[in-house]
Amino acid sequence: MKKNLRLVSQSALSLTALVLAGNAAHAQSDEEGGSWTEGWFVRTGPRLLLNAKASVSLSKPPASPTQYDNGYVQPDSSGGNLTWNWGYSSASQVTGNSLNYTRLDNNAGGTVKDETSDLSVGGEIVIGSELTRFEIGDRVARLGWEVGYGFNPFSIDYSGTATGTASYTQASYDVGGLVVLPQAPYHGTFRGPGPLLNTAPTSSSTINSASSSAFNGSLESDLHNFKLGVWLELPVSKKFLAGVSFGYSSLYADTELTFTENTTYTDLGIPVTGPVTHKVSGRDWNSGIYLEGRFGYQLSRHVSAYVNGGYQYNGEFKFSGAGRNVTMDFTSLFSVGLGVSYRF
Amino acid sequence: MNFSRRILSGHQLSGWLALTVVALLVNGASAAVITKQPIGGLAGTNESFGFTVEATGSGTLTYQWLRNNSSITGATNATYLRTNLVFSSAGAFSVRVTDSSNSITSSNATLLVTTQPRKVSTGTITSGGQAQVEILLTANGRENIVMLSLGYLTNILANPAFTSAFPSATTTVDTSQTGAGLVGLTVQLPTGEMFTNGPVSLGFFTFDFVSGNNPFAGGYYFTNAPTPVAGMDTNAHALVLTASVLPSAQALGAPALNLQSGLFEQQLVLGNGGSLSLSNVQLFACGLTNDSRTNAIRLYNGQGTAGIDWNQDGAIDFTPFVQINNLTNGESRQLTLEYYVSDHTTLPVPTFVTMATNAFTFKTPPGTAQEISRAIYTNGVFIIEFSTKTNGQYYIQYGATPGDLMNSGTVKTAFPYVIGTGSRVLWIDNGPPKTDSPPTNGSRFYRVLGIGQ
Repeated sequence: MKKNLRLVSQSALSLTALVLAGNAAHAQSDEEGGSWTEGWFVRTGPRLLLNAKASVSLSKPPASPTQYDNGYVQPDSSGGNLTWNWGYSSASQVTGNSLNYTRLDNNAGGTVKDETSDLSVGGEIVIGSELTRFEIGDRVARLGWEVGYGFNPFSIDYSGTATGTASYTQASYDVGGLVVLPQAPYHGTFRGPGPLLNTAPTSSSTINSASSSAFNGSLESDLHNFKLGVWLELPVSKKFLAGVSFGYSSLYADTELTFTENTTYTDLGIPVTGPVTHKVSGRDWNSGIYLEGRFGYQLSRHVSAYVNGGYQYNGEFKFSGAGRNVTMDFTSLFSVGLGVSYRF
Repeated sequence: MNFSRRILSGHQLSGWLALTVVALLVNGASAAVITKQPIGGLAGTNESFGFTVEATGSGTLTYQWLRNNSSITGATNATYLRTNLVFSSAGAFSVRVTDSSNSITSSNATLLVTTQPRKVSTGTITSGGQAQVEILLTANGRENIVMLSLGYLTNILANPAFTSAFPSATTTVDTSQTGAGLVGLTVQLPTGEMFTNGPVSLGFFTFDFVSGNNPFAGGYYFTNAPTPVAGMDTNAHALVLTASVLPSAQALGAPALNLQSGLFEQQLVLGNGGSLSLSNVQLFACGLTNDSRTNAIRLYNGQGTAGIDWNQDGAIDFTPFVQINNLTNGESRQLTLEYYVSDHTTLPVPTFVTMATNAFTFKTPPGTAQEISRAIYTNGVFIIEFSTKTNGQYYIQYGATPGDLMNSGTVKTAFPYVIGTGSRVLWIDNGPPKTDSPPTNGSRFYRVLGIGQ
């Protein structure tokens, strides 16, 4: 999907170039150049997006002592020694009357990555119409509305290494009091009811070790921008005009972080799992505003070429998973575009 | 107006002082005071109900009784007896007491009239080598004497005797008609004493078994011979008394925590010792309190709630119940009650009240069959494991054969339904009241219906 969208944006660039060339030729034969047509317009062309940022950091929260990587034995509504607020992930955790849990706390430092994307090449299409005209001095200004959609892919590299300390906890709980153990995966709740376990493990041990992680991957995001606003245009000369647009924008970010991580420990008591590939995704709408300035050159009665530059604010977007926090920063987006406008 | 200074002469001053002394003497005389207000109560139709007032005052006291603030003709004594009560006799009664200096009206005493102001019933019916039948009185605080007769089947039981729960009372057992399966009982409290308002156990009859050892097979019923079902108050006025044989509920021990279900479980025997078959019996678990975490203890496998004044305190309590269909005379079933106790420690101590009601059938909404992960028979119960969605509703249906599950005429539904937790649920079929009988291995097949899945 993301590859297809990128192809579309590249095609939009090529198409715009063709339209520009075609209309330039057509302009030479247009005898009525210089008079701006009333009514609707459609404007399209490639769009460069700058200053989209992403930050990736470790998200492993401080685990409570009885929160494990493969389950939990947490206090429940009783606050006592028995709890129905427990769960486990796999049948392999059960040996006899023991339910075994492990937790690996890898506090490797330096894993925060703050990246600003390179120029993102995309495209935009805007349609709208003129609402009214009024005079400013000896010039006629025009006021209208517009609605648009733009697409820009976004990608950063997520690779690096981190070192730190790790602790590996193993704990066992007695399930001998249960006639039937629920099959994995099982998730008991705070209010229950459900099978009861004793909150105290029958055995528990922790190994501390230095750790080293190498990770390699990327974060890719498709940014779909929708906007609705008003525009004001003022002729600079017979062929040139200047315009400004502003209004509401909503940025839909469809993001995926994929990375492979390989962690090693100096203490051999901690099991090494080998390279593990993680994939975490998030998507959300981010409301904001946009402001855009534009210069146009009339190629014919109906066709003009334009260049524009804009600023856009769409806040931040966060999501978590696979032990990572991802923050997408859209608080200060800049864009540059060019293309053709067709009036009808 | 003419304002002028007044100066009393010596003669005027002494006269004024004399008047003041006289006035003080008059006001210092004891005015009428009610020292004991009249008390209302609940009475039965055709009964009598007496009101009494106690007052002090100067000179001779006179009395005028009022009903709803209107004078009652001829009711001019410190006591007033209202006889031959009908429903319209009810009202607010008060008395106006007059002495030589003033009059005062008492507070209102409300009289309520009903057809069943008090009743006797059978309580728990148990077997301990003999058949034991508890006799309960639901009093309203006026009863000094309670009388009744209990009938029973002589081919099952013989040699009735009664053990009173009131050692100070005079208890008389009339065995003159035991040949006809009738035994009479009179329990009389000492003069002036009354049974306290609410349910109270009078004691229990014991019988020897003539055949079998089923205490519910006695075919018990209340009757008027040899001792009429009646009561008397402390003034020997007749009191209306009704009597009924109720289903017996006998707990087989205190609730205990089951680690498998996370619930407290209590075994209980529900039996029909009467002479008639009962189409439906409701068993109420009354008086469940909060646990140490201030969370309500709930009857987890309760099948509904109903408002009852189980402790006769005048307040209707919405009380959980389970119910059993078609409990024939002489039949008993063992029930497992499950209690949700959030702290896992507070012991539920319910008071059981039974009620024979009309037949009631639960309706199962249409649902979608869900996958059952496991069905395990162990320790006399079936454990059915299936995945659930949070707050989803799941009905467990069962039958003796797989074909029964597909036939609306034979499939049965366990109640109450299961509320999903978002994870696997281990539902336990431990027999009534969830299902109509305890399961045995290989005898029962299940399916789970998810509602709105």
